[in-house]
Amino acid sequence: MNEVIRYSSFVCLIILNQILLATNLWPISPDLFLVHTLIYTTFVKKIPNIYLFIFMGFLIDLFFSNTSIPYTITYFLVGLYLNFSSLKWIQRSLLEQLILIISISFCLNILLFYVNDFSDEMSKRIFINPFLNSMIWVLIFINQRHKWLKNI
Amino acid sequence: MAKEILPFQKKLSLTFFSFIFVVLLVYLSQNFALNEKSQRLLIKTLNVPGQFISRFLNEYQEFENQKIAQLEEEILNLRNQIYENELELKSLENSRPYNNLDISLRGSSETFINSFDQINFTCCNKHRVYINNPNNLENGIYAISQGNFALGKTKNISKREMEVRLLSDPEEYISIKNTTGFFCIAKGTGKGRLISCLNESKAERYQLGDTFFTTGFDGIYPPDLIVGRIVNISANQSNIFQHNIEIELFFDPYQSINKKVNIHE
Repeated sequence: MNEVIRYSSFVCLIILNQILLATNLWPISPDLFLVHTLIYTTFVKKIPNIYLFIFMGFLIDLFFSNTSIPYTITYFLVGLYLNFSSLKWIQRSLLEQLILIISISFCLNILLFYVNDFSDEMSKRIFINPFLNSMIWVLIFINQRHKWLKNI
Repeated sequence: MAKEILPFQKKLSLTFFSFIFVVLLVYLSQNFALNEKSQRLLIKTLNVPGQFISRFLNEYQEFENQKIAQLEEEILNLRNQIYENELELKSLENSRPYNNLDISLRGSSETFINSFDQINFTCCNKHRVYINNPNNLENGIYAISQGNFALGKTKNISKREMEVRLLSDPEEYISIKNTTGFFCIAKGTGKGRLISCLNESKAERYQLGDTFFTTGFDGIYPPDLIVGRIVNISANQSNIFQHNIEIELFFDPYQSINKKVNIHE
């Protein structure tokens, strides 16, 4: 993925996320940043270092959280996992990937709701969001697995 | 391509330094209120295109509303035109060589029906429409027609509007004739658009579908206005020579709002 595309897509995601928040669609939409990171991790040849992950999480927190904790911590964990793992992300089984996505989404949403004063109506996101994120990953997986098998 | 595996020591140091990096960033953001500032900046940045989009959408909506209003007006005009053409068609269908329909409209002024008392029409045998009073006519009884079709006569007149009692009202009477020379005084039935008249003579000079016209004998309605068509002829049980003739009026009050009518002064 081209660097320019990566950063411009990140800016677009910030705008899109703000629109989702403003239109109250945010609780029932997948986490755009997490999905973006998953796609980015899948298509990039070399995983960037942890500091870049942390910085991206920090940037997201700046715009969408009262304190820079939820995304920064989540991206820190994601960065650690992707950098330290002995296997590439796409080499893992689908079940393993889904468990990881669901657990990290759940952690992220718990942190988001703990740190921010979202309304009660928004709290359904804690349960909906991990499911939506994993569904999107399943779609990507089904669509791309033949290419991955060739490249592994 | 195989993945590069980091030695444990490097992993440890990387974790430590990245944790320090996280703490530093959180500290910086807290200390300088970066979150608040950046969120305000984001809202401000998005506010400009947001305002532009909402203004554009509002203008578009306004444009669409104008277009809808224009189309609705066109539809209304076309409906009125269709209604008037249908009236003309019915009038031509029912005209006879001796009828001079133009003469019957002479000395009349035009106005519009502004309301129809639908509740009293359906429940309480009061058949009324209200028309504008264009010439500030004062009290009096005037015949009202729609084109060449008799409609009723005025009951109460105020400065702005006139109450018109329709021919189907139970209190309304009209002198009518058909083309074969059968004359009768018809009375409103209070049921829908029906009026009825009795024929006590044995001679039957009428049949189903016959059209009736005003005679002009009552001095209110001009002669030769079209009234209605026979829809039912029934014999009276107590008097076998008596026929009850039911005539359906051509004028439909349900389609009458905002339609042109003539006041015969």
